[in-house]
Amino acid sequence: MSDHLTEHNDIAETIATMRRMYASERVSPDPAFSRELERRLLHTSNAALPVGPVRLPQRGSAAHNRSASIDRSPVIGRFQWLGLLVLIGIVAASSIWFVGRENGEQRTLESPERSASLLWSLPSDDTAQPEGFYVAATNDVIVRLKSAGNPGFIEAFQAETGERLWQRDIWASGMGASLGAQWGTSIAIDRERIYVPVSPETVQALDIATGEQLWSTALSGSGLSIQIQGDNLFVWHWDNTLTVLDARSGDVIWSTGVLASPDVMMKGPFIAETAVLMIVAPGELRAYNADTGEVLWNYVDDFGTFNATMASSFDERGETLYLQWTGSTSESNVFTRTLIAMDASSGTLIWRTSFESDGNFGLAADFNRVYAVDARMEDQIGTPTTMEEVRGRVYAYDRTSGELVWQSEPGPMRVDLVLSEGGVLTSFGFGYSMAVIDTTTQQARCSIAVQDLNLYSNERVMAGERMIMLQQDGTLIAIDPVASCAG
Amino acid sequence: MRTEQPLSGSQQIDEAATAQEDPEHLLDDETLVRQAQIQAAAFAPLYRRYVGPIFGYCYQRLGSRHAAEDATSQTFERALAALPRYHADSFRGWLYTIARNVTIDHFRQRPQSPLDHAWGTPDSGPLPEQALLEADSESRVRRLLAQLSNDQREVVELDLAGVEGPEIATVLGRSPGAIRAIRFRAYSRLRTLLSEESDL
Repeated sequence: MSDHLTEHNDIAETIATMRRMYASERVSPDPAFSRELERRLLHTSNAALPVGPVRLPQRGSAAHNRSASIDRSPVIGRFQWLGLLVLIGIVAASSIWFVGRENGEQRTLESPERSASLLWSLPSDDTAQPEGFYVAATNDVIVRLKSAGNPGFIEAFQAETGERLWQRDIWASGMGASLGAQWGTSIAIDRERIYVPVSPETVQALDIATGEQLWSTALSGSGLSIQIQGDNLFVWHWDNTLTVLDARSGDVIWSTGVLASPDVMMKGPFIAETAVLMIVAPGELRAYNADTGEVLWNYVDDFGTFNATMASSFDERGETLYLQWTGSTSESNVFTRTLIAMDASSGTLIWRTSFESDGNFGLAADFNRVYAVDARMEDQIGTPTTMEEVRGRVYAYDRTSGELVWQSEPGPMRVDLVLSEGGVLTSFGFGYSMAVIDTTTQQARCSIAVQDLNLYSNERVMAGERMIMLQQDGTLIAIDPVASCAG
Repeated sequence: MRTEQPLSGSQQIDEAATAQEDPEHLLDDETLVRQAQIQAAAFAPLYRRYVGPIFGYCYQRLGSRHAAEDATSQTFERALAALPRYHADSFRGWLYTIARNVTIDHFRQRPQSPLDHAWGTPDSGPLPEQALLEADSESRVRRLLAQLSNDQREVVELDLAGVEGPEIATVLGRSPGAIRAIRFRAYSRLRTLLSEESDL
């Protein structure tokens, strides 16, 4: 039995033990007390109650809507100067990364190569114009969107069997994903609904079980990309507006203009449960209260050239954002090629570490670790490379302290990461192979050859333990990475 | 399994009567709530279903039978008064939300210690760990829970009371993901504590 399973069994046994103890110690109410309370309750309330229910005001109504005012002052809200000075001192010491590497335990990606264990494959019905496909998934349902050649279509499948649940025509804009950022998607999904821009100005919500339209909201602006977090649907317009809709009703909760220049449009928003961060202008990072649009803090600095991506937070209060910043060394600043953990609601920096990525980035997080990748030529760091020359590594950090826990040997790949809820991390080399890593044992299970699959680089999602991969022609392929490793 | 279908007026009264005649009738919570919104007597099966668990939850948090009886009474009184406005996904989650608020009120109303004033925190919210430590010292569960953080303890208290994950999220006003994380950490901590106990 693996350590991973052992840990889960231990937790299950702990829960069972606590429940046994609770049951044995449980105190019941005195029967006389129970009878008397029942008599009193029903005696004093024996008149017919008003027929209800009375609905509470809906969030998103006029009373709840507000637009955030924009603080254009070049201030560092609560992002303290003192913290920055400490940070700069740390950077000057240049020790985090290398200390981490010395303390970190190296794990090799060398592992048996296997063939992908195919669960099911779903070719697209539309072979005339095989482009413009997107995929999204919950644990139970896979959704495929075809946006090109309008009207396109949207369809849902059972994740386990690949059986089609429904299909309908849709005029999807399909514009968001061309942004290329993790955030910029043309489709968002939760357990109940599918959200998709159906024109440059309109967002629709569909019932995930039936495909029926639940609501449609027209917005001003053009070019929409969307992301769901809880009941908030974040809609980013390319004309520099961020709008938050109530995912249940489509009502606008708040909207604000952000003066983002074209070269920073793809960097955000980054969403925690309580705050949403936007690069609102070159060198200007702003945080809004996710529920109200209130500006929480504003940070202005010379970021230089950078890209950033983030991983959803699983910390207890859902407030920590992990941001990975890349950039060229010629324009280096305090954020260049760093991974930072930040309290999103206050702007407080929790920890920071640096790495040497040349532009490849990827993040994932679970309860204990933050996983990041970089990719570069081993011998000529900073030199432009061909894809074949790039070597990628996977790093695991303690999410609380930022300490490097382990790192992989460089693999023959440029990598990105997909993490399953079960703790299986797949490190995907574009066009080469996929390493499957058990995050609990910190061991690579195997590598799976994917050379024969004609894949989009960024279109892989997890549906439970199944990895769903979208091929260039719209075909969906489901594999089980762990089962594939077992041969 | 009963399906959630709108009831006609006569059907509502008939089912309410059935529930009165047979309190153990296995109607689901939401059906019973709809009946009780029309006829208060139909609240009886809901009361009988939950009086024990709510009392146990309050006792767990407050640590005394007298305080638990008082909190249980207030919980059901508030629930019955608010029933016409009930519009939630889960009656159980709603009821435990009320119970939790009642126990928090109890903590806030407790006599303040000099330490509260010294720290300038006269309204610092619930400090259930204090009550837990002052309560029945022979309760092993209570002693273990007192060693958890506030968040962890609240999640485990509800979990042990039989409240399910999404309902716990509702009760505590947190996301299901946050509850999963807290629950995992709480039981990881409890595993360690139990292990340390067994080593002694």
